[in-house]
Amino acid sequence: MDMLDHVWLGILAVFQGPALITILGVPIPLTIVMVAAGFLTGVIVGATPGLAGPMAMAVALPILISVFGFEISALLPVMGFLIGIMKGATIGGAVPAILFNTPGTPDAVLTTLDGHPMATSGQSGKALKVAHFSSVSGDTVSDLVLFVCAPFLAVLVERYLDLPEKTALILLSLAFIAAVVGTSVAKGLIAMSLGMLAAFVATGEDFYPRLTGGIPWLAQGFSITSAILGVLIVGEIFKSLEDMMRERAATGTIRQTVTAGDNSLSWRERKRLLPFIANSAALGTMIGALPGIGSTLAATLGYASGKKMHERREPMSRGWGKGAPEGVAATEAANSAVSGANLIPVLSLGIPGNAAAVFLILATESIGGFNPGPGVFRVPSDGVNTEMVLAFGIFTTMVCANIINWTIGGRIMRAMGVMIRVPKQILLPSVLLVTLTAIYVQETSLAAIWFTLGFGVLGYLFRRLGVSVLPFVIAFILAGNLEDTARQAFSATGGDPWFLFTSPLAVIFILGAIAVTIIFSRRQVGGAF
Amino acid sequence: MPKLTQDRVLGLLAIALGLFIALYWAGADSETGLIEKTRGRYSVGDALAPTVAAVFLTMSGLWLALQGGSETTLSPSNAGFIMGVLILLFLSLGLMRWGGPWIVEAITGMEYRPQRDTMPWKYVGFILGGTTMISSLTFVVERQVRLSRIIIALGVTVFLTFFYDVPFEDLLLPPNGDV
Repeated sequence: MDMLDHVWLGILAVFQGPALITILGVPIPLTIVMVAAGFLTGVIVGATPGLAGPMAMAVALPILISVFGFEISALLPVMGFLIGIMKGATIGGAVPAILFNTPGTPDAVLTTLDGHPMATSGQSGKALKVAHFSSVSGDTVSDLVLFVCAPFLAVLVERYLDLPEKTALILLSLAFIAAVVGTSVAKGLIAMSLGMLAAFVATGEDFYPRLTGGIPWLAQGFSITSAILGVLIVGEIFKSLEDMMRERAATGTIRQTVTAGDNSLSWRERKRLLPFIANSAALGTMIGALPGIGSTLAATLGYASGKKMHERREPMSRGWGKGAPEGVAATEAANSAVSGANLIPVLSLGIPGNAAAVFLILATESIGGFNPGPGVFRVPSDGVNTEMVLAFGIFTTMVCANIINWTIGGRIMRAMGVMIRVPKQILLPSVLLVTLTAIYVQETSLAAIWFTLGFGVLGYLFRRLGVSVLPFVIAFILAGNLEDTARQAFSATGGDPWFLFTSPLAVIFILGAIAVTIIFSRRQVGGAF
Repeated sequence: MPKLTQDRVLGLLAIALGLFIALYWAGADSETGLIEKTRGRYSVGDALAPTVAAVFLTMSGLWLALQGGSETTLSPSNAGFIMGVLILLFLSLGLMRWGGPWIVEAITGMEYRPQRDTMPWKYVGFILGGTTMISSLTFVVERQVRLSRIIIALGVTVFLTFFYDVPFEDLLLPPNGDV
């Protein structure tokens, strides 16, 4: 079967998969329902200050696995729900930024610059429509690039990369993430090294579990769920609780916004926004395809280049930074375009590029039967590559999420302004309990909760010390893969200690790893994630 | 003499930990060394990967220590906050773990284990610990004790109890998998 047959089978896997219910004789596919439910959850979470998409994905994953089990048939409903959250949270994040000047994420800060002035002048409805239109346009462009590039890149990887090159590529990815994210390359490398060390505890090929000191409760090592949820989610909750405690005196009543004036968004206005959206979508897609850079830089570059375009054109209504719809469009299109492209390294290389991608990888590792990487898109000489069918099934769920987003996403988004009223001081401790409970039901051991809290303290210290947590998380995920590939490469080259320098491509990757650490040590971008 | 910033201290700690792991722990706490020779073939031992990661850690620490970096914001009050939160979490999780057995023994005189799948005993520890966790953390942030927060915390915990336990028969709420 060729690739197009696999594409068709992937689409059928979604639409002819198990049905949840039958309405008037028409079966409603379970995966589609899960995408819609995930999307709604994502918008709610994104619109709630203090919560973010990865938090909801972290809490949802153990529940989803409990419901659907570890069978391969669980993959599409579970991934559909997680992808729905990822996309819903992206548009939901603009709601508090525009309506209440309370950005839930670093990239939403830029949305406040023009979005909130629009809202305070009575155009909150128009600002939300601009944000939605730009966000979903950027996301769609990014997804299309993903669908075309991921299989193409995977084929190239499969054809040209042998074990030494793959080892060098993982090293390059780790160096890239450590160098690009956060405030200091040295701190990123420290986080990366600690992530690898944590992953090496109680693993390896020998009978004795290494680095455990003979302690029995360490003999199973740290579960990936405890480590990732601890550092990413629990650490963030600890920090946010402390920030709230210290800012308590400064908190006041919830600011109300009025809706008056022109709140429509005509096709003519949409047409005028398109150049800004196209420019930002291209920037966001390019940035998203590189592991570790993230949506904040995309939003920043999109906003900055949008400003230059704006200076050359007659503005729609107001000056840049003072309520210009083009400013909202430039930011939202750029940060939304990152989400689809971020899956290019996930699906073609098995390397997660951001926190949301981490949970998609975690889902595939938990369920089994689908191993992200170049093998996914290998066209078999005979029969069917199930992984490729599932990959195109995942792409189909992304298209479905986009259709939901285009059709009813805007209405759901505008209805979510009410989420600002949920008090964060109750919400975050509740999220902590939900997270710990979700870990327990998956691991069925209080030790997993203690480990999670331990990693939570580590995540809190990282944030206070200005160390980014993403290199730790990604190194934890990739460490086992790196060690296995290096072991095989060493053996395959007959025990050559210089196996990383035997091929020109591997040498290029290693030199690239050194180069990015040097280049990015001179200028830093990014934040806690 | 360069100023001893927090970043430099972090760098020095990374160097110390990296050297300790690379020079002692990785080798001493692994069954095989860096490189092994078995039947004439060389293979990678279990100590190599942690040693390489520890070398990275040492070099990164050295870089940070030399660079100095910006002044970071970890203060004694941060340490006080996180210690306080951990004490509250230990208390809450302690109640979650032992609250059920204590109450079951006190009321029924029976052991908890045979009752851990019986209504309402199987929920006692989780509800007690969960309510304590949410309400106590809310008190810390608000710096006041309010009955309304306890009621909300109880409501959230009861909702979670039924969310997990009613639809999913094979799921165990904490601490019922450990007792």
